[in-house]
Amino acid sequence: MSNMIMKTPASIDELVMCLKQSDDNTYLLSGGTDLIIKLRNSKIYEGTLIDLTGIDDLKQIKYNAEYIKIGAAATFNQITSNTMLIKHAKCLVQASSQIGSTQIRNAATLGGNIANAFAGADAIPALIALDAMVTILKSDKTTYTKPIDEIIKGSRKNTLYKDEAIIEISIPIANDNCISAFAKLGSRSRVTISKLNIAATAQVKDGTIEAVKIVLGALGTKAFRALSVEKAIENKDISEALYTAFENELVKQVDEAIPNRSSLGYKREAIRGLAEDVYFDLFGSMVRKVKCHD
Amino acid sequence: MTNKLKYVGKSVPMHDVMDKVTGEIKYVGDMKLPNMLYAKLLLSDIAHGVIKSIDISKAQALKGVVKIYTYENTPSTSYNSHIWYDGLKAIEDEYLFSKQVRFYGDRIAAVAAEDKETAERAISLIKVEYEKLPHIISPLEAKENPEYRITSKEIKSGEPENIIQTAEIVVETALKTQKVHHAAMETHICLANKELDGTVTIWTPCQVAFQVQLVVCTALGLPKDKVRAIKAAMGGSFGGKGQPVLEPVCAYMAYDLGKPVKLYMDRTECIIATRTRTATIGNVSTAVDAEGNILARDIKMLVDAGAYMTNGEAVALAMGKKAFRLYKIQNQRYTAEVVYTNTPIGGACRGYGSPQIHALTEINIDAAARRLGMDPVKLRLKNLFQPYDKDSIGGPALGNARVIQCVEKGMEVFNWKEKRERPKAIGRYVRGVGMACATHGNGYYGAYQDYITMSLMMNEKGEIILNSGIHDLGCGTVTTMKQIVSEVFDIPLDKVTAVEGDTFKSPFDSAGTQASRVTFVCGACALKAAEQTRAKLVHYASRILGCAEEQVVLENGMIYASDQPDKKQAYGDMVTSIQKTLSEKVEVSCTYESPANPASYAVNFVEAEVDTMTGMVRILEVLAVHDIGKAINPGFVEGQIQGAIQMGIGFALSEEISVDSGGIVKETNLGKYHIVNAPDMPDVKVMLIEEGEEHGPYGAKSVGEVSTVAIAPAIINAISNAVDIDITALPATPERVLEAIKRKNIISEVRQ
Repeated sequence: MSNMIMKTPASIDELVMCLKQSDDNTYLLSGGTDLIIKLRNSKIYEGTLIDLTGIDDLKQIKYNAEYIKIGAAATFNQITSNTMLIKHAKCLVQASSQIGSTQIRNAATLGGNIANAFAGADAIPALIALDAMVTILKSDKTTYTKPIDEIIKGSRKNTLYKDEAIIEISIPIANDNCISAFAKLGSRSRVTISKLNIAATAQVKDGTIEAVKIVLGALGTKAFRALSVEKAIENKDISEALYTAFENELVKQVDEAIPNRSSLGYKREAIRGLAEDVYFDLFGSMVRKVKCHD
Repeated sequence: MTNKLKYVGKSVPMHDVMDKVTGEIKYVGDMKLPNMLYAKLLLSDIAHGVIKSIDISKAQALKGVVKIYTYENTPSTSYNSHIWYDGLKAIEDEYLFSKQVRFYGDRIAAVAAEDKETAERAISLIKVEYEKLPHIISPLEAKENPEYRITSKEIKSGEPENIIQTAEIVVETALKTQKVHHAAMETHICLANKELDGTVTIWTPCQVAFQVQLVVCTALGLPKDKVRAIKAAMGGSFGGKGQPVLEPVCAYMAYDLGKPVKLYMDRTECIIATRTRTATIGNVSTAVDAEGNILARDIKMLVDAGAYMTNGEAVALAMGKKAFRLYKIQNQRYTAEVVYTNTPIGGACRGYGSPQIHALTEINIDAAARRLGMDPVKLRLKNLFQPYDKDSIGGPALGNARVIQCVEKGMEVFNWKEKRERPKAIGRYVRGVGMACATHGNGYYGAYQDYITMSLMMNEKGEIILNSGIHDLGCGTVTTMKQIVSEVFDIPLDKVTAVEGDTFKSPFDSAGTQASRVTFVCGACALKAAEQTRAKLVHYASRILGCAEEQVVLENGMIYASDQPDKKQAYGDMVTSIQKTLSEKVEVSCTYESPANPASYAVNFVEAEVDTMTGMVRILEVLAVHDIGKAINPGFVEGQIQGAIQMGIGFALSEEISVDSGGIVKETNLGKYHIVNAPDMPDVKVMLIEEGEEHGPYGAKSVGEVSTVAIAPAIINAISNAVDIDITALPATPERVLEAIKRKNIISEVRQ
């Protein structure tokens, strides 16, 4: 990469200056755990790298009464150990803690994960389930904010222009009745790419699920809300019977999502394992006993 | 030799451990010569075809590109990279560069450039036009095609066919085993230079320096005295660096350009275009009586050599022989068919066929036990070889075969009976226990020439230099040799230097670090060389000291006559006196030919947990019991076993190089090729049975390969024990396990 120019802005203002000069061969570097491999594999030897990780503001995790605001260059290990996130965004913390290895989590960032838009990304389903909003900086120094789901177009595709950068991810702080959970399935227990993942948030009151969001990842080109699953359990009382409905509805979702994939046979079965993980993580204390499986 | 050992049997650290942990060690990747060029390969992206044209103009035009090599401007001498000594015959079907493309990953071109980036860029600018040909990826299909059939083998004792035909209980098992990547941390790399006198020097992390020399000479048409191979620091091999892959190409470029050239591979290239564990499709039928005596066995193996022959035939034969060295089976037949396919090349991989055949037969033994309603341990104990039993096909004597002792001791320590009889959990996670036995050899005696020459010299400071063509692959060979020599002379290890293979400086070694021969054969040679040198020292010292040889005492670096214990002198001073007074050197060159090839044994006990909803299998506990004879360095032995279990779990559960219908490799990086990592490693307990082996140094025998053989079948047997399913293909991925569970559930529902 001898012909790569490396820019290291130290502030938002400097970043704006860099973005103004962006062209088709400009890449935002925010950890590099995916980007460097991509550059090497694509044999890209020329261009400009803008390193976002030197901007202190982008590495902070802050909050106010309404939002937890995660700087785009916050690493997954920062997220995993943040007490506000542990309290209000458990599924994101769970997802973050299962991304790659310690070394990867020390470098990889939330902003990078979003921009990379990998279909099997672990943080994205969690962010969708949490109604996360993404703030993007433009080269004219203005910003705009969009729901995460609208930023990701498909596999490895996002809606960002070359002179734009993700700077912040905001997670609304819900009331105390809101719970969340994340589960994934890879080819081994750790340092593994998801074959399936699932994130869920729910509002529970007096044993009734009042609002729920179920998001599935690694099925098709981008993570999506499983609306029929949500419908099957919304406004219902938590019970074992409800678990069965939840599980069966998830299987249907898998069937619909990847009807022609060779992996369907496995994923439609294995989703039951994740269904159990997530359902009992969310509602376990409210169900009589853990379901027995034969 | 006294019974009280001072250096042998001790867990001293590896000789270069500090260099490794501090990063100071110089691997070939770290080496740099003046004016050195960097080289990259272009590999084919189709599975089968003929090159119609290669356009190198754009690549050639790139600044910094020195030369581009293809089949058009390089020697077209065929060779077989598996041939490790002159006179060994095998089909020679490899070339420096291919015109005929035989698999996805075949060598098409190489670029030598002034820097790495230019070499890599130039590769992407070469345009190749192919005429595609139909490809065969299935060995079963290959078997039906005469162009893909290579050879068949048979080993037989007694009349198994008749017995199996008439026996009441015949248990059949089928198992497919996959291609596996060795996954050494260091990917393949080589550095070559042309010296002023025309010699080509090659630095390579290799297993057999003399093989590198021979193969390069064959491919390049050079005399042996113009090719020097030097074994470099090794970043892991496991058989993967046994056959020279890059060396002939790299040597040719250096020879042609008259400049140093470094040729290196990344992980993807290493996975697809070096060597793999030979894939097999096995079927076995075993006839047993109601008491669990094995009456006869018939094993059929279809051996997939991949795109080139390499050791396809040798590995087919090697695995077959193992079947005759574990159980007393008077009537047994092993047949193998070896075929080509348009898939990655098979080669040596830790165990050399043993893991494949034992996976088949040990799963089958458990199936037989299940059929008889018998504890599989009991069935094994009835049939396993006793010490000094005879190989049933007249192969080398088994020696002090302690497999039964391994099973019996292991059972107790593992708490086998209790774990096995424990009721199965009802729920998502179900645990089971399984075990398996395995055998492997100790060198080449009985099959190929197996000898080594070593020279040993004590200098004027009392230090010892052991010069030989050994190769430390990270397993502790150098330190092992030093421990043996230290023991003979009663001097500390830091007074002994053991250098590694260099074909211009090392005395000849017939086989290198292969075949689990190093401790047993090379270690025995080091012992012999040390004893002969010691005898020489004693002889000269007796003349200097004016006493009988029997009176000369060597003790802790000091030498004296037993009746003059107050007149001790350091070894070095004695050597100086000998040189001055007698004009003699305390030096010996000795050749040791291995007189035996006893069997080493391993018995693995495993507890596994199956997630019945996802098919994921977790290994909870492993007990590895080894009939090792004597551990020269118990720490090394345990390290070998721990690593071997890790490799074996991958073979059993997750590692696989596969190709799609177009013959394109699917697992092209470690994100897709799943080796077992630390969080998934179980607690591995190691137990050594040290009962001594006659011809091994201090009683030692091999452990490097046998240690990865029993684990896969032990795991599959544990899975079967947990959830009562048949696994018919390795690896037992979550997909395969879940499918088998589903199949079983459907069958049981139908029956209900």
